[in-house]
Amino acid sequence: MAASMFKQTFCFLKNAATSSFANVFCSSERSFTLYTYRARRRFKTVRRRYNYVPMGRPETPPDGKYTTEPLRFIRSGGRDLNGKVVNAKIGGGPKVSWFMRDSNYPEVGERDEKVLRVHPDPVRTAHLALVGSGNHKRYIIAHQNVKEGDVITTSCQIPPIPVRAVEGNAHPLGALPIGTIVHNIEKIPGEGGRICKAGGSSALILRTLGDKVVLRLPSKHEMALDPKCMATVGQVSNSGHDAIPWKGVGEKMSSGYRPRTGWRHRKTGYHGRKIKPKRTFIVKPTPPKYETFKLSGV
Amino acid sequence: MRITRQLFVSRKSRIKLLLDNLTYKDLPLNAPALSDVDIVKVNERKKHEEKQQSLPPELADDPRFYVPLKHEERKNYRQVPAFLYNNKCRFIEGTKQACVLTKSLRFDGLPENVQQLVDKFEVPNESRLVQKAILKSQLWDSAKELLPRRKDPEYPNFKFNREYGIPLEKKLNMLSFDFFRIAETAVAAKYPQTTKTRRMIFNPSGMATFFKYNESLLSFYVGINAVITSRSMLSPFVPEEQVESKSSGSIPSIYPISPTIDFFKTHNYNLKNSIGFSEISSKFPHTLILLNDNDWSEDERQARALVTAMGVLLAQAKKTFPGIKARLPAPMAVQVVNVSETALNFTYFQLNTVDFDNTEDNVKNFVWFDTNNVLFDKLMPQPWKGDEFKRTRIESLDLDGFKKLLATVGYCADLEESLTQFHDKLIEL
Repeated sequence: MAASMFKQTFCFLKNAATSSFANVFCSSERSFTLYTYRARRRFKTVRRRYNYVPMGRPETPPDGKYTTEPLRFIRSGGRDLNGKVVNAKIGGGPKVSWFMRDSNYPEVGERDEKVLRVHPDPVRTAHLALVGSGNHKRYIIAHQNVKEGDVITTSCQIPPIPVRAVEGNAHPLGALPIGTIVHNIEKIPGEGGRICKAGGSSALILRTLGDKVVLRLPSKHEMALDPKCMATVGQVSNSGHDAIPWKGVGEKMSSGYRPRTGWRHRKTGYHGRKIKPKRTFIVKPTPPKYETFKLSGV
Repeated sequence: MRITRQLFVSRKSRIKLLLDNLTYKDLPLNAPALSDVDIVKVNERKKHEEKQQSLPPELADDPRFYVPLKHEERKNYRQVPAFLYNNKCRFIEGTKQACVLTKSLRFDGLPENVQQLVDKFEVPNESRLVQKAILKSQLWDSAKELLPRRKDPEYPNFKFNREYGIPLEKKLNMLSFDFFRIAETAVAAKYPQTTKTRRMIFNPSGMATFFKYNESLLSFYVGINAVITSRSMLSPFVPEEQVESKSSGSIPSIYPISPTIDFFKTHNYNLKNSIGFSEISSKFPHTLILLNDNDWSEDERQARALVTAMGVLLAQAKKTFPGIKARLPAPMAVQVVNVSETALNFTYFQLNTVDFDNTEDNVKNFVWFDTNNVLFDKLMPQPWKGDEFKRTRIESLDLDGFKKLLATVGYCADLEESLTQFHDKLIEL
């Protein structure tokens, strides 16, 4: 037994020793595997908290331009791209509409915007705020203490003295003082907000490290970012949505979950449809090159 | 054979020897740089390449591969964009936004000239006739059409059964035109010559204007349900001498927003200036009638009434005083009646200037709002509360709104009668 185990390891190492590791881990040879669906995913229904998010995909407008009109949201029903049931515990629920939310920051020096409406979002955990300036309206993430009639400013300038942080305003990270709470942060300047968009989340500015600004994320990781990246001050709205529990089965069913089959209908490997993953083909690494020596006739 | 610690330890040294002979320890950390790979600094994120355009379909008219036309290819393309107004433009700030657009001062209640006429027109069996009109529209009509689904905010998950009944559009038509028929007979009983001078036109078409506001073109296509016209112009609510003294107040500002935020911006449009009913003898509008076949708030409905009144008067001012850019030599006025399911709303608008850009001018336009004159309470069924709440209930009649309607319809009726008598006397001579 030990010998066989030893052999297995030795064979692997032998192959590894003779063939260059660059060949085995080279991406060009592994690229054949990416076209096929390899991993056998185990679908677990995560026990979602209340004010959950429906599972599905949105329908984008045909123009591709930004609109404030409600659009269609298509529920998945537990179906895959091929149309087959992949998760039988999803299904039902009310029809829901989806609004396009703008998390980009405009590239102007300064702009004032006025909050017109605030209402909850059926597709996300954070609330939505309708905001208008000039002739343009858009939806943004609503912060904790937002009201109708507030005026919000965004500015791209970094003065030498840090700016006094007012809730709702947007500034680059280099302009904000240490200790401010911040959300909708950019990773690369000019790209758009990426971090801390969910309900109740926020990040903290800890210190500066040379050219960069260090943030503490909600997962307690620290991240160093360019000081030109934009962020808005404050905490995202709807912070207590985690704590509300489900009332019962009826509420879950009416929201889009389906029951689990009980012990009488417990499935084993013997019952039911045979669902197996598709086989992949792995390109074997190139065989090792043996050096050949020719003997001369001397 | 069982793998024991002794065996594992005895082979460990052998494995170590082999591993030491290999050089794999060094390779992953100090791997040689491949020539094909370029080191990229993370200053920008890689943008997704655009998908290659698919081949054209075999049939030219295949609707599955329809691509909409660009703006330049559609008809009526102009380089200068314009903002269009429609019946379905919903002002987000309500009457405040409309007042800033039309540069008008706001007053609440009825103007003085109309307030004096409130109790002067008598209708025999007034309450009985009004109740008949209400019940005709709500209950006695025999229409059976599928009504839209109902949702109650008190109990959102309750599922109502689908009902068949009278649609909203028909209810409003019946209610409003019964009221106006009663009002016109009451006015004609006192001033009989108004039957010759006045007309009622249903769904007039072709009413449009355009003008410049803060270096942007606006074009109005106004939609009206009905209009009462007369042979002579309405006398203004505030005479010309008192216009300057009364326009001393200030207009509120909606700073980050411009009042054209709800308009539709296009490059394809047609500019037109026309009144729809100019080919008949009675061509001056007296009252406009709007039916609120929507679920807006009363504030938004009044804003729509203001803007339609302004559009109608602008079209007329451009025809009577061509080439005008500022103050009018004679002010013009119009009345609007907004009919919703249970209430009546009134607006009275007077046009003094056409210069809408200057907010700090001496002369401004005037607006009177009288909203939410509720005639009756309609309580929809809520079966989860008990047996008493199973059916719809119509309660508490209030006739104040109807009396105001009589006053608006009867405004300037005495002037028309005197003018017609004068006109007939001339013919006799």
